[in-house]
Amino acid sequence: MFVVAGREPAAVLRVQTNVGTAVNRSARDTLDDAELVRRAQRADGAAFAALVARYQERVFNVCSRMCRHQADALDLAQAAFVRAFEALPRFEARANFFTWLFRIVVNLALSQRRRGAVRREVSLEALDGEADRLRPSPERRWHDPARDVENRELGERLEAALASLDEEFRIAVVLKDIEELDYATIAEILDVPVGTVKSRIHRGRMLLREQLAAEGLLHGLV
Amino acid sequence: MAWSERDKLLADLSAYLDGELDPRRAGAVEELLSRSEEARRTLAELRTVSEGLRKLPRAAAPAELAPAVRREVERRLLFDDRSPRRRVMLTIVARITASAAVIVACVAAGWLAIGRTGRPVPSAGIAERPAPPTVSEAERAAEREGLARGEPLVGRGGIVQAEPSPAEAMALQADAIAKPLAAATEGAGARPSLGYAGGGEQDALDHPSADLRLAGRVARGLITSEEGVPSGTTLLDVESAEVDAAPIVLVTVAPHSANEYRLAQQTVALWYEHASASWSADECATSWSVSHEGSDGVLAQPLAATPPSQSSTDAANASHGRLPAAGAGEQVEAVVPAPRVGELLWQLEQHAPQQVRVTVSFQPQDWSRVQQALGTYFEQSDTTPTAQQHGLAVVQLGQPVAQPADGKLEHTRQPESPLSAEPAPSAAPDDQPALPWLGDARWADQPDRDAAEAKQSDTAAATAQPAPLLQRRAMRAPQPAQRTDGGGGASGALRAGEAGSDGAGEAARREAGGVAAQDHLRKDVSGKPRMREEENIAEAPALPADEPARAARDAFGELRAAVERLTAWWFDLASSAGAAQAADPTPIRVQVTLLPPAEPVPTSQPVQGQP
Repeated sequence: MFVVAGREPAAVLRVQTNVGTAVNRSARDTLDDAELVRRAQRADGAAFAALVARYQERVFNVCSRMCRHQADALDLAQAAFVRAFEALPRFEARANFFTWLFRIVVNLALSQRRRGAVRREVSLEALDGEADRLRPSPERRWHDPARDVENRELGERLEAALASLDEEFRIAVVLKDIEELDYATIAEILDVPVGTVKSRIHRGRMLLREQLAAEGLLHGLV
Repeated sequence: MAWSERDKLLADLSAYLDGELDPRRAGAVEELLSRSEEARRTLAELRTVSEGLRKLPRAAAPAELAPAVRREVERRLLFDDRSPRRRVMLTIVARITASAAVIVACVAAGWLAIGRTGRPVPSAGIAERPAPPTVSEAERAAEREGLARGEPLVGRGGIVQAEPSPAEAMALQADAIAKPLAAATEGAGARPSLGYAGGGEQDALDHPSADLRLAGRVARGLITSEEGVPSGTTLLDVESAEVDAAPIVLVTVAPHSANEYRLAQQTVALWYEHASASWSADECATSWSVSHEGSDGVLAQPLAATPPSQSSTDAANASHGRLPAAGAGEQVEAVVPAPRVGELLWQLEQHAPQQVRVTVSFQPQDWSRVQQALGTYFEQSDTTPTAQQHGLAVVQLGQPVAQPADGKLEHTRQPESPLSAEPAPSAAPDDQPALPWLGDARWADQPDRDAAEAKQSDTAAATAQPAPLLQRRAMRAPQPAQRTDGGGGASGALRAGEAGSDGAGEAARREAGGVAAQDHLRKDVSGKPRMREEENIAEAPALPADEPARAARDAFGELRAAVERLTAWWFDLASSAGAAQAADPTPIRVQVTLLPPAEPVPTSQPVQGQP
């Protein structure tokens, strides 16, 4: 923007912002969670931003299953990340960041639910039109064009049935069937024994089965 | 098989489906499945449900999630005591408070943010912040002693954590980083020239790291100030590096004079002010620090070598380098965004230490903008609660203003006089202008216009409200009643023309105005202790009264620095998104010319009209 030629600076003022980062975005993408967490614990905002970028999809997806309304899910996801940032100094390196983060998400969701801060939807009709907010990700797109319409309706009904579950069953089912976590990880996230996880998942699926069977939709899902 | 056992096996169907059963239990479930149609059907339906859930479309994270998280984290970094980083930074603050550079720069930022008179600068959104806790002199002294012994600051207002914590350890680590950084900085001084090709600051602005974005904003501010102040030339580089494996960001500028150095320093402070919407010294220092290398003979003393002191203004000035000699007739030229023209005049009226002439030059098509800026600025400021809180009176345009033929508008400003605190008289002298909102504005090309407007002013002054600017001064800094002359004081500070134009009475008012200005500064600062450093200024000894020329130079240097700071700040705002009041960046050229100092008047001389 401007060039000074042939003129020596009389003095040089160096302005150093406090500890930042020298790594670029691509370099951060290659770092594992542990390294990013270590940097974030040193107040490296970029490292924490990388963690956010890495897990925002999964966190928001879980939040959306817990909240139904996108605005609530967005607030919940944001609160979870901020809470994680605040709690980073207490995070132990040997733990799994993802598990720890999801535990924060679940705890926040449950606490907000208890406070009534999150609207709850149990009506199937109320969910009509809500499905537009769910945009299929490339890897989860239903590829059969002939059944897209039918599957979409079934998906909406399944979403509605899932939303009607009690939260303890719903979160267990979501973590298992949507996030595809194993029982041990779910138990760690929910801070309950594995046997409890097994029970909740089974009961949740059975409740879904009953609801869908009552609507005659069960076989249409396959 | 007992019913209860069968029921348990059915309950294990989901776990069997998920492969979560041990082999023995899985064998038992398979045995059940081989014998029970109901179990097979249930397993199939559970699989159907599970697969249906897996096929559900995933909710994509909204694009605003990551920025929202970033903003919230940054906000907590800056303002939330619970933030781990803030604790780190505030502990660091306790260590770098010894840097006079940081202190003085923040003083400048605070001065601009709140104005010495306590009047908030519009649009910055800064004045609304509550003042930090007042710190007594004794507390500060104890604090400095503690710092000298390496003790952390004890919590004041819940800001600084005193407990030894991981943050404290991190602060020590930061100290360890700072030392090799200083060494690296010294080594980098071998670079003879730092050409700036541009673009680095934009990369930083787009970076997800808050630190890098802050660096980018600082860089952009410096570049903007370069464009806004034609006399300045600043080399700049934005780079990142690692010192002892600790990532740092460096913004390097190379000022060519002490003034540019100070400007750059202050611009950094202002930029951080803008970034954090904060004006307190603590907030400033939490996110940046400054150092310098090289010397031009003026900046001979390292900034960090100047210890903070309650009467360290002189030392701080020395460390920053006094401005080059400036005397009567010297000018400072600035380019300000059109909406800020009125504000600049206002600031000059408030802070110019000596009589100056302000020439506003603009293109004919910009006249309406200038007129609007001059008129609506005061009107709007008087209608805001903040303005009312600061005792601002209603200001109205005194007369319709015709567009000057050559696009040049001059405004002569004289130091604030205590006499101006007087209510409007019933009549005004013939030589008074009719533009109370602008002072003695005169059309350079229409000398005859002055007389005509003066007559109109007489009529208006006899029937209208007291001169609003004077009322503002009166409410902010009431002066003793004996400092009134009882005649012609209505717009004394505004209508005064060249020095000595009003004879001994005018000179006496000017002399008294100098005293009043100092009193006003002290009162304002002590009455609203925004920052401890501000009080340092207030306690600075007055300029020697027997050296008017030197005082004029120093005063003009201050004026020039203030104008440069203001323009840098405004263009900063104008270039930043969301600064609504700076949305019009139309550049308007403003020249501020120092007029000859007034003849010294014995302070013991009775003021004319004193009861």
